[in-house]
Amino acid sequence: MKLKKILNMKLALFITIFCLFSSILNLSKTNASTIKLGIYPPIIQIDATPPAKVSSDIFIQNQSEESTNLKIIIKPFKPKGTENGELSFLFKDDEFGADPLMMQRIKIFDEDKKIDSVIVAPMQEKKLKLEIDIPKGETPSDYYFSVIFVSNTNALSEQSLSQAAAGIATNVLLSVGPKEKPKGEIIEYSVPFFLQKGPAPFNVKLKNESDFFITPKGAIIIKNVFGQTIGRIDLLPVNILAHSTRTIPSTENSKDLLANWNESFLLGPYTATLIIALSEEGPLFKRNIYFIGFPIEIVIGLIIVVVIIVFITRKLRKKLKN
Amino acid sequence: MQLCSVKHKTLLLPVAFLFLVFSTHFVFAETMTNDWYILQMGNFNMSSGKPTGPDYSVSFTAGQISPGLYIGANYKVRSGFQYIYTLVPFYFSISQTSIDFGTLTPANPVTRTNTLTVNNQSAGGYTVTSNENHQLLVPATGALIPDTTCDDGLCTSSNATAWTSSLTYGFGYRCDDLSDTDCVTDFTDSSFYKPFSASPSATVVMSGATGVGKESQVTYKVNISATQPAGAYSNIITYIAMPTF
Repeated sequence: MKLKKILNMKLALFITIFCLFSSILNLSKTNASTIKLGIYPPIIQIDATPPAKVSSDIFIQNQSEESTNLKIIIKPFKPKGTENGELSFLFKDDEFGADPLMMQRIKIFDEDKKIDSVIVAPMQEKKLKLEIDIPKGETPSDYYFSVIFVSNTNALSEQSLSQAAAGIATNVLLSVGPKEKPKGEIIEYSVPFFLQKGPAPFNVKLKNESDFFITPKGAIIIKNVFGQTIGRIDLLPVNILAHSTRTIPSTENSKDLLANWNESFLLGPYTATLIIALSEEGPLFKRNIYFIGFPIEIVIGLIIVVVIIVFITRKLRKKLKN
Repeated sequence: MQLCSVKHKTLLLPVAFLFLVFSTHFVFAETMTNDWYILQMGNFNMSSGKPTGPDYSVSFTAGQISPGLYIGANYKVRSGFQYIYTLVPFYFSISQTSIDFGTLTPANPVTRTNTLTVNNQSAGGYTVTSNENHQLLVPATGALIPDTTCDDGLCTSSNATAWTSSLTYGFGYRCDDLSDTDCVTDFTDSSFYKPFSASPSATVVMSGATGVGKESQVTYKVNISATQPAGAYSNIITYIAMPTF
């Protein structure tokens, strides 16, 4: 009986040690980790007049279960040419604003310490500070750059593998003034002339001819044949970088870059007036276009119904006469 | 028995009171958010304008929700987009950062997957770009598994084509939508692949508008020839999620 008890205890001890070892060995082989990063704000717009020591907070979050060492990279960018706010990074020789020393003036601080990498613990949010020292007499110019946080990887392995590094960025639009009154023009303002039904898809494209970015604000006012205002489309106040063009969607439809008038039943001629201001000080642009709404399918359906009713009525009358 | 119960009740009241008083020490003021809601402050405008034309005017309110506007000496900072009233961060995650191909054998293609997820509630749009630091490489010997050029020899980092033959060698990837339709449109057929861009160039893998839980699956494919030198090949694929401006 006692021997059996000892054997059982030995067996339990053996199983425990075996489980412990196998779990340790398994742990060392597990390398499928997940990384989740968060950043706020996604954009920082700065208007500065020299001399200025600009400061702005950036919050970086690590929502992974492991600590992450993030390398901080400052990369200048330009608009991509897709006219939708996408960016492409500048190459080494591309011009980055008027001041060739601007890259050296951009710094990231963790409390009072200048950093080029940061360790963020699991589920931690770090508050960092973006600082830009703009000296007196700096030439007015715009500078667009991304602050990118990229996770470090260790690619050493006995197996063939690819390691995925995650990076997350916030974009900075820095405008060193003083600024003049903005210049620009409406490149495109269109809608199909004939529409059977809504929504009416307006295409609005604006070119910024200024040396600095602008955030225009505008709307499309729709009037019917009697001159009554029957619709309003508010345009998204997007940023248009210096000397670039951007398609402006409506506030309700940022997905496909169209400014949709979400009216399903359209009948008769309409006048759509685009009013857009490039800044608080103007200039203000106004342009009219015209389109016609005619629900052909509904009208054909109604005609068919009327014809059938007339036909049946005549038949009935004939029958009654006979 | 009744007396005992009365005693308990009288004790219970002061205990509950003390508990409430002391437990207040642990209450902190936090920004209350989750994936579905955010409690935010009102809109304190910094200034306003009304540019006018002969017939029309457009009213401006410079500034935005108060936490996003900072004014310093000779400068003004606006954090976040003026038209998105949220303080929810822009999130990006990769489900598996280590894509282990195991032991590679000639003419036996190996595929592995991971998932890229974007939660974008604070920007109008976003893109995720990718590039590789170098081709799959044995650092000690310099032996390479070249990037794929697909079956027709024409696929590039900006153009995907079919890769089905087990006699086509190399390393490439494809992107499939798991939710939404944010993968680039190159991969029209399930057999289409392309190579990663070489750093510092980068190619867009995903792009889209505002939304939560935008998931795409990336499939990595590697196939080697019989003459491929033995070794542990590796590289680093960097994905960068960027909000639009």
